[in-house]
Amino acid sequence: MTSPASSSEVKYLIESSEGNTFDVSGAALRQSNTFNAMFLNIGADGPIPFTDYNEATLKKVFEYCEHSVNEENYSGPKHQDDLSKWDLNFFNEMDQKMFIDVINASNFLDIERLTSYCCERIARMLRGKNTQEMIKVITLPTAEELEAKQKVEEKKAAAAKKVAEKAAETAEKTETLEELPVQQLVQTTRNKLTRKYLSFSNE
Amino acid sequence: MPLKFLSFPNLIQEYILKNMELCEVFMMSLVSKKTKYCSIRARIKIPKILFNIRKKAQSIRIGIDEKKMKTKTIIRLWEVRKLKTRRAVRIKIGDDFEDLAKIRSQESQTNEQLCLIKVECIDETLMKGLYDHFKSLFCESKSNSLWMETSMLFSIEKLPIYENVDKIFLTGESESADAKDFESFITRYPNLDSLRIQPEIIGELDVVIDAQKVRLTNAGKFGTSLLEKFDGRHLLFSKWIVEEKQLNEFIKKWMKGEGYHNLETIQATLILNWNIRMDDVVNELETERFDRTKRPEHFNIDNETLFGFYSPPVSFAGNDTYDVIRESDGKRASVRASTNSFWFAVWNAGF
Repeated sequence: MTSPASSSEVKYLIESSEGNTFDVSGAALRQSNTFNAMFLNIGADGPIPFTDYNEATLKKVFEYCEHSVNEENYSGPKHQDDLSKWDLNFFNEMDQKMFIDVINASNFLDIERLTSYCCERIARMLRGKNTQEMIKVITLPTAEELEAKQKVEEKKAAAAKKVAEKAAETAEKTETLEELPVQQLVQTTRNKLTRKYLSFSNE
Repeated sequence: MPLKFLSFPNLIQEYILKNMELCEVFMMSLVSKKTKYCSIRARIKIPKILFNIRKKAQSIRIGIDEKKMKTKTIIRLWEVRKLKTRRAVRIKIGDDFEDLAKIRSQESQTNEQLCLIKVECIDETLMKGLYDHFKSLFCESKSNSLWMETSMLFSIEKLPIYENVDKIFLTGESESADAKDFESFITRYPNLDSLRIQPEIIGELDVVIDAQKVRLTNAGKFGTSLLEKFDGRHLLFSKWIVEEKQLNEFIKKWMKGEGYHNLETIQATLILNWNIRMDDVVNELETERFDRTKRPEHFNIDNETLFGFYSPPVSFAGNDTYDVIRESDGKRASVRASTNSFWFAVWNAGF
């Protein structure tokens, strides 16, 4: 099923995070530099595990690879305005979650063309925005949120400090308690022995 | 689902930043400390920078077409009398500047994005902070330009020193500046390629000017003072006030090899109604008349040498032209003075 010979007809089995497997053509897979570095020359026995990503994401990524098999070699980023109708549909079909998963998978698989287009798409989302709008788009905490977070962290640190102090105090006490029975035991034994000795001497 | 920029791997963050306009990268760097470090990590390279420093408004531009002298503004800093607090944010730029400002992306007349920052006061802390911030973000070019308003010369000590500046343009045609202020400014920028000065400079110059080419729009008497201290290749003067005796001294010095070793051309127009008597200029100097077998008639000065201005080839063949020879290496130069103009050109061995 999988072999080192890399002709476009060769199919590879890909395993997703759900444990499901599906076919991908060798030509499509070869767009992934990660695949090229790991499996192209040595081949793979059984399915190739890309188990950090779910089936839907991987299928989407390889759908793009299958489509761009016949396109000329990648030579630097292409402007979004130059994307084909198919490319635009491909991106527009995805919801935000899928889009983020695709970026991460594409980055892991090192598919330059797809990664670059995705990143340019994000860059476009930030176009014309002021700093406050940028914060919203890229979901950064605002200054107030950061302040609130810092306060919570300070409170937590103070509470942790208190707990640590109490624990240290308790440990100190326990140490004294642990020492007491030994001393008491020694004293009791000594008393007993003294009493015994005295009773013997009296006899 | 939110788009958490900071959750992306570093490489993706870099790709995103590299796909953004430079003004947007700059704005991202103002958003938070983390995004600032992401922007620094991306090590974005920028072409030649032009710092335009004016009292009430400043800008940082990049050169997009050097031949056409075309630039694109990335950041524009504006001083406004009263900043409306609506939508104003507290920004921290550099180590020391923290104040309210309005930052927004604006489309220029040429439909290009720029970052507009409005503040109530542009002071040295902000200028230094902005420059340090900008410098930390982008990999600068090795050849930057500085355009500065003459009025800024008074507070030159407080201004940051812009690195890798090899072209300076001091603006303000109707203004004047003191030679001492100019000196303390110019000594901060050694090894200049070109220096263009619009205002009239009053006083004498004490330091050597090693800029390769200098253009004085209001040369006045300062032009002569600059000529005495000049160690570059090309001079272009307008409204020059010079006497025949001073020109005679200059030519004598050149012939004896006592200075001007690199000088190639001087092109000057004099102030109105100021004519030079050529006979007095070459008085007591060993001169030659034009000889076609020794050099060509016309001297070509390229546009670049003339700060982008076109000049037709200068003819050195008339009665108002003399040739002089440098004793040390036998180099030939032609001197010409006509109504209101003066030319001096050193001929290369191969012309």
